[in-house]
Amino acid sequence: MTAPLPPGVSAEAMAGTLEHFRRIVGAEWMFTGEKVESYHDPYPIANDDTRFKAHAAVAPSSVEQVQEIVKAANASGVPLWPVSRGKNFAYGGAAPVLSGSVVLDMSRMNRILEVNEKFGYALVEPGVSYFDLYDYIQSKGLKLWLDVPDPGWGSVMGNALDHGVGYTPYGDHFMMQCGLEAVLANGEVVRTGMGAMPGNNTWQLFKYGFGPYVDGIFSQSNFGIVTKMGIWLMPDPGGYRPYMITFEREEDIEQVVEIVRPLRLANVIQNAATIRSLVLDAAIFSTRSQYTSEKGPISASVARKIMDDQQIGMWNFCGALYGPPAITDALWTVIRDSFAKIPGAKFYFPEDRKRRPDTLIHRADTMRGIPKLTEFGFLNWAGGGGHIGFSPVSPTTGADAIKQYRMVSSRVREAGFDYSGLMAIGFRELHHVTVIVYDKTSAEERARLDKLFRQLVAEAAAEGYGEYRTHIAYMDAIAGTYRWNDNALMKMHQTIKDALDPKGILAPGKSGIWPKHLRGGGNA
Amino acid sequence: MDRRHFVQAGMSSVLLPGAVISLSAAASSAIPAAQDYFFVDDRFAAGALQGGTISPSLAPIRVQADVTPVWTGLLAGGHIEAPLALRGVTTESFFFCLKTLLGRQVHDSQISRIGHDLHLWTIRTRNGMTT
Repeated sequence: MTAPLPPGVSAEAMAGTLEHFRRIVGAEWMFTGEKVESYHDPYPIANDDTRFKAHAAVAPSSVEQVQEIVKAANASGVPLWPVSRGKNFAYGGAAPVLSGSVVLDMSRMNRILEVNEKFGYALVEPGVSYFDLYDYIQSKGLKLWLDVPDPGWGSVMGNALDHGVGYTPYGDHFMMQCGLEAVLANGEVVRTGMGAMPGNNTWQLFKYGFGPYVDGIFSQSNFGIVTKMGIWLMPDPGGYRPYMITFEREEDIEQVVEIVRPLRLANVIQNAATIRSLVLDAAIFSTRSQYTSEKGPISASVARKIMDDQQIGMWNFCGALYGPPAITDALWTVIRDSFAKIPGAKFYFPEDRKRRPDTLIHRADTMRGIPKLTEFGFLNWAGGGGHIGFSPVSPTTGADAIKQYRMVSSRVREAGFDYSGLMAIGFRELHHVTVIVYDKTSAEERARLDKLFRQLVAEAAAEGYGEYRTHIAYMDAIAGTYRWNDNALMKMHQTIKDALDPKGILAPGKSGIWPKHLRGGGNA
Repeated sequence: MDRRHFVQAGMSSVLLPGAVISLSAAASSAIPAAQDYFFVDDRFAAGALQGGTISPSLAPIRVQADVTPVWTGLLAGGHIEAPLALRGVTTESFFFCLKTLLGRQVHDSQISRIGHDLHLWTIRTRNGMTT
């Protein structure tokens, strides 16, 4: 397939720009032709093969090279699609929204610039993965814990900027971000917060500095290219006790969430715990074919068989206690007594789990910040290996949880997929992440999934539920649901975009934000 | 838990009883001259192995879906000097994760589906895994 060109850029202009990039980074770090394939979305949904395809990729090694690339792109109008490590696979990976963009692959900028044990923070470049930072901390014997999302190969910076979450008390990654450096579209480098003051030594200690707090405009956005970021790290808590509580019935989710809310608000539940569905947990270590050859969503009898075999419930609450035993024992008493009100609830510590491999044994690593790739096992559930996340946010109430669950699971099952999801517990809200596993080789299944996803977005919005993050194919659709007061927020985004990036060279279409010359739809 | 203990824990949950070769042994003993490794997902491929459908020239390393112990305990240690020739009869996610982890090191790869849950695949790298 011929490499696509972005709108308004001729083949000659693109060739000249790529040659310019080549001189900046060296031929070895300029990727064209077959080498671009690794930047494609590994889980495509669209049946149109021309969509979401990069023209080329360029991998700089320094801030200075990023500045030069940006200036060259500004001169020619070639759009760039920056990625930290490009491992955001359920959301498009490294693939751009706008076909013909050149991926700006930041993975070579992978220095851990500082890890400060005394204050508990790290300053990292975009290419630093969770595996990298974990190994660094372990090799130095530092008394610090990471917070990791499920895939350990992702970028620490990229995940925070995309509002990713983990599972320790530091689970809201962007909340733990402190200070960043970004290259703007005109090539200028800015540092935010205290980093704007020469000689200051609190860049990673105090988030706000003086004046407007701007770090947020560099998250899920296309207003700049972040080249350094501070992230707070948790001190070794001096004790750790993971646990799992299983619940027998689908409808238990309502009472579970009602119990969770006050415990989380009071920090009795200390971490970003999760309530995981039967199929999600079962799929990590087994496949559907091991339990049934029936077509369509699994039956109640198959669900029962899985529960008995894997010692899990229809819902599985995975949490952890952090601190010395005197603290964790006291917290556990409250948690256990609270959930014991639900008939059929079962309580487990790792030593109670006999089956191997096992969900709690696996989650115990993740909830203490050990990076892994174990969770990718769920891709094998139905064969075919594709997955996408539908992630509406709702209040932490039982009524919202059961409503969310019924809305989404019924549509997912009507479309012929198994419901597989989790409710990630924030301080006051639930991220209801539904993972839809599909056969990426089946055009019919992809079309069915696309129709389902758009229906889910529309129905959620009609009930006031918005998604916190999405695949590149649905950024416009979801941005369109945040439309209060005649799309005032999007108009503000566009005003900022036009001011900071008037030629629209940075990530056109990211989060539904298009540069002026590409607005009006139909560009993706 | 440090990496070493984590790897040991991971292996204990991944390697199956009666494994033809233990992953921990492979990691700690001399690396085979060819730098070949053959991975088998014992949950699905045992029958094919026993029936002779799959006849590996190498003793298989028995795994399940999770690539983490193989990566952290065997391949990413920085001590393999020759290019890798990896083969497997596993689930697709094992192949996908391994190929993604190897990244630009991948010289060529092939995969074909040989059953509902199983894929037969090869990956060759340009270089070894040294740090």
